[in-house]
Amino acid sequence: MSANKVKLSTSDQEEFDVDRDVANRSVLIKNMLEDLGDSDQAIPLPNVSANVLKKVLEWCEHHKKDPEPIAEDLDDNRRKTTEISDWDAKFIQVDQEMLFEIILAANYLDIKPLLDVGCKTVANMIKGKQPEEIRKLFNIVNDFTPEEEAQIKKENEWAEDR
Amino acid sequence: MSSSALPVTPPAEPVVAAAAAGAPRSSSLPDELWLKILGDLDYSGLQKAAQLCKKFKGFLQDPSFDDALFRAQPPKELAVGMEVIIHPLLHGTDCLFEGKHAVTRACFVKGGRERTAFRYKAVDDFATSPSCCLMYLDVGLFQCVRIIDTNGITVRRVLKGLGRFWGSRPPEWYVAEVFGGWCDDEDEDELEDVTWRSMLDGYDMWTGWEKAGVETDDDGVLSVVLTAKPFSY
Repeated sequence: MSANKVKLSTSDQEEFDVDRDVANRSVLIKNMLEDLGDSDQAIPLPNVSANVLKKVLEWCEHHKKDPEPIAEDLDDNRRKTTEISDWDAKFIQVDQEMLFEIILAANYLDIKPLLDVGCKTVANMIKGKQPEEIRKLFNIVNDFTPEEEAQIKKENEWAEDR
Repeated sequence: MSSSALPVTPPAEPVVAAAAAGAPRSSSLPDELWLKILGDLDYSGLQKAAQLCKKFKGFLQDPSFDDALFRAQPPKELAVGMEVIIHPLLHGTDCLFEGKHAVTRACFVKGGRERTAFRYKAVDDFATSPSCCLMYLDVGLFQCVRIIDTNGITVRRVLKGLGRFWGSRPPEWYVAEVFGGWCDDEDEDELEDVTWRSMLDGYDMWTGWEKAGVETDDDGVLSVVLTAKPFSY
């Protein structure tokens, strides 16, 4: 196997041959490769299924030339102002199930910029919708009593989207 | 805000097991990721999230939301030029005047309904983020209202401070300038009751804030300054 290729094995036993610089977008894989040295062994990714990994690798491929992210975001709060790029916005236009899978995979594989894109996308979905729509979308069970709900609604009536 | 403790993040193992067995994963995210997602929301987004279910309401107890929810205690170091966000309740509040002496109601007008800001719990949130102990309200008319609270200035304090100001008597030179030209003896009694509010009769709607920032006051102390939108005569 070429030194520039990496073998990844998914939860559903599919194997992917990936360029090393693409796979290196994942800090988890990057660290594993450094630990393994020159090995032909496939890297097991028991938390990621093939269809999700395929999608994640599509992102990594597009972003393989991005500059290395700065070690640690010193001011995490400032993240709010960063926008999602056009390519990423299009990339993340998937159903809610896949969106969550991508977020989980990005978290597990330690791909911070992809995790940010996923999380911001979910946040934007919350912004533009009524509580009932959001619950439906994300399978959230409303466990407030009608009285509690009425109370919360009343407290927030001034803050509703205008 | 409820005092319920933050839910404990469930261990990741079950997810791994399910995935390894090829079973479909549940379409839910661990708490730590929801916290990250909520971190991208502003005040109104967070309030909406709190309406979804008890777990989400509990999430908002996390100290990482203190700034966005206007509950971070001062003193937080202020610096000239730093961004100051005005509490949306304060931002969205118009002061209406009742009676001729003072502001007695602060109303939030939405969809034609008038509601006093004082009826909402949020009125006791801090007025700005970062919060502060010394604030100047530049209300125009060459007047500045000074507000001090060592525990941090809340929306309530600002609205009360404004109320006191509009109910106070303007400087004599200002009264003389406005009424001087046509004032005669009959008006003397009326002039004794003159307040800022009565002088602005007909233009008495508080129209909100134009900007907020951190400035150094005459004593060299850093303070938050809110500048009112100019009155539209």
